[in-house]
Amino acid sequence: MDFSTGPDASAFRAEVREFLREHLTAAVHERMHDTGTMHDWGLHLGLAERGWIGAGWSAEEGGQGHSAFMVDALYQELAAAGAPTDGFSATMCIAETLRRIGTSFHREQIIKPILEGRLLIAMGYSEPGAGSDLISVRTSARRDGDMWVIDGQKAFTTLAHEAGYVLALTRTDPDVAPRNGLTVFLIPTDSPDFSLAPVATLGGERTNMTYYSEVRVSDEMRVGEIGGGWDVLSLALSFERGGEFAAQLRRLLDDSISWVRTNSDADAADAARVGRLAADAEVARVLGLRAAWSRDLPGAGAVEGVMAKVFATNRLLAAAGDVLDMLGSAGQVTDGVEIPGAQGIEHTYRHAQVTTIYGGTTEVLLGVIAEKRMGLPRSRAARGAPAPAAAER
Amino acid sequence: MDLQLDNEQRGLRDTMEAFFAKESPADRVAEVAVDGIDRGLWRKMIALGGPGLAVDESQGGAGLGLLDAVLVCKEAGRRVACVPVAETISATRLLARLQGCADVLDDALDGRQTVILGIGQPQHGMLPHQPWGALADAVIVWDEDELVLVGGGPGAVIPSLGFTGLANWYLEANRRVLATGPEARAHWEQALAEWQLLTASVLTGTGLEALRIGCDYARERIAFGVQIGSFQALQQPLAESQTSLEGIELLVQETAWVDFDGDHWKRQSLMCFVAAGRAAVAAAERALHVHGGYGFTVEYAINLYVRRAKGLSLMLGDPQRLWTSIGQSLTQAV
Repeated sequence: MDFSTGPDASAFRAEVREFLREHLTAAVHERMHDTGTMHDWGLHLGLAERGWIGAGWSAEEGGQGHSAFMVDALYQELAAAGAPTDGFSATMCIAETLRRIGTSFHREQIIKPILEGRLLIAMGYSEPGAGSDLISVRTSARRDGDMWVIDGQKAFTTLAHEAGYVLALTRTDPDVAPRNGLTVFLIPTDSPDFSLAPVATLGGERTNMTYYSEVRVSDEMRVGEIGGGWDVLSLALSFERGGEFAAQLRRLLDDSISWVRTNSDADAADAARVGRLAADAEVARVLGLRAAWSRDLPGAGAVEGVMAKVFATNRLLAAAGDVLDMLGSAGQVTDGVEIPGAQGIEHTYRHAQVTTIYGGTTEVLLGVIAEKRMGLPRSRAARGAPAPAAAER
Repeated sequence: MDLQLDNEQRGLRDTMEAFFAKESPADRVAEVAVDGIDRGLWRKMIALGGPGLAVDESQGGAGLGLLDAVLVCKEAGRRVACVPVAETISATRLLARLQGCADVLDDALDGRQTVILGIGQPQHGMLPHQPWGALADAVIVWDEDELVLVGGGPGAVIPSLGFTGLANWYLEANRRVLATGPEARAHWEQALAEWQLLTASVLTGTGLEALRIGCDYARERIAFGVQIGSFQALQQPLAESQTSLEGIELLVQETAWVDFDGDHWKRQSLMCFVAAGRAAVAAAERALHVHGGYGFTVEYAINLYVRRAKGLSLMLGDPQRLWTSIGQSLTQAV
């Protein structure tokens, strides 16, 4: 065994931190807070200029040939600093998919501007009535000559208001088995027949409902085979990461330590909370490491990624509530609290609620672990579901 | 980075897995579980060089490292073996770091004396509840300002939940001072941290094997016309336990892989011990529950896993206090 992260990983981390000191300004934080948009074009372009969008890709593909492990270090540093990277991470899941199964048109028209930091893509999987059960989506796509006509609506299309396209899961054939009648399209958000409505959330992040009223797209916008949407989606979902959730636990730990250090009446019970949280953060860290490391193995680390995500988000949710308790009545104050750590804990508590839902709910993912890792029989409820199934971010 | 075992580590793991499967099967453990001492198994462990597994060859050991010892401890834990693996390995490694203790080390390595590390604080000249203190000939104890070898064992066995061959050790007679001063104290603290790490590995083995037993049963048992393992309400807690234990196992391996570096390392080891105890107890309880009423009977091995996991997790005192001390070391560090 070898747990070394390589001499260049720590140097790389230092470079990322230096970059964040320059680009993650108070103004960026303020905009995030005011708009709920967890994306900043200035920061994003800065990432692109450094070559960090697609950093793990080969030079021929426009990347820097960094290891999966280094890429994870980048994600962790961004998450630990609280940088607004929801657009970046969602777009990269899709870019990784297009890189493997995309056409030359996709490479030229989609991947290129993504790597240049000029284009985001939003995930359009979930619908009203179809969350973890994505096989039941109803948004339709029908052929009309050379074009496809998309009709329906998508839920939780986060960052669609900044994205150039929505990657949408649609039903192209209602007459075959539900799994075989799905196709994926890139739908331009500048179409006059596309519209959206903002949705505010508990954690302060903005998401959207998106509407497709006979949106016409060319066949070049199709991703994967007609009727092969399920495979495309499974591939896209396999790029969800574990490391960033571990970084959120680490941030909660740092906030908790800050709070205990400045409160003279913190007692043994509070220290115990910090101790448990520290252990959870450490376990989440190594599970995240393993998920990153196993991505290059046969199986692409699918189950390892699921385990990292489930552990970190479950513990984040439980620990955020636990450490918020120690703040007592002051813990409920949402703005202007001067005590170090307090505001971060309160915000993490709210944000944590969604982490066990998006990217696959805890219940669905535990079923994946039970089946794929422990050899238990597939549950009746999971029989029509993908593994792993997920709602988008 | 490579998180797979290398060929030699895999060979060691496979050998020890086969060894404990053959020498410590469930029916044998059930037989010896009254005292928790398996003398036959211990003689075979000594013949294999078990106590000196992680001592340098130049000092008479097998020359393997702490990570190898972690792998062996996990296999012992999987079979709830009734022998002092972590207790002797941490003791021989301590003896190997001390000056002028070559004779004690030699005796411990070839099994003339079974020497274990004493866990916890002496109270009124007595060290209570030592795991496998009822098998050991001698215990290494930190007593006042001295590192002392106390002979005259074994102690009288105390029946226990964890069937870990517990005995109280009285420290007045048969004393030999091995070392004194701050350096001796530091060596002792490292040994205790190594015991914590090795015992964490025992616990992850116990917990993961309990889950395997539970899953086997859940595939066999039919209720309401289906395998009970297909019920989500049953799958979810087991999968949650599997995830925690795999993560803790990795953290144990990582800690064993990095070099000892004082306070940070000691905190990681303690964290591993407490987290492994909590996770192993939860896993074993859940796996027992899967068996329904049969799990409550002593006919089925799963009860041994609950007993051992809970018993071992109490060895350093109330886990809540251990969490407090971990938290305090983080909030007080600058």
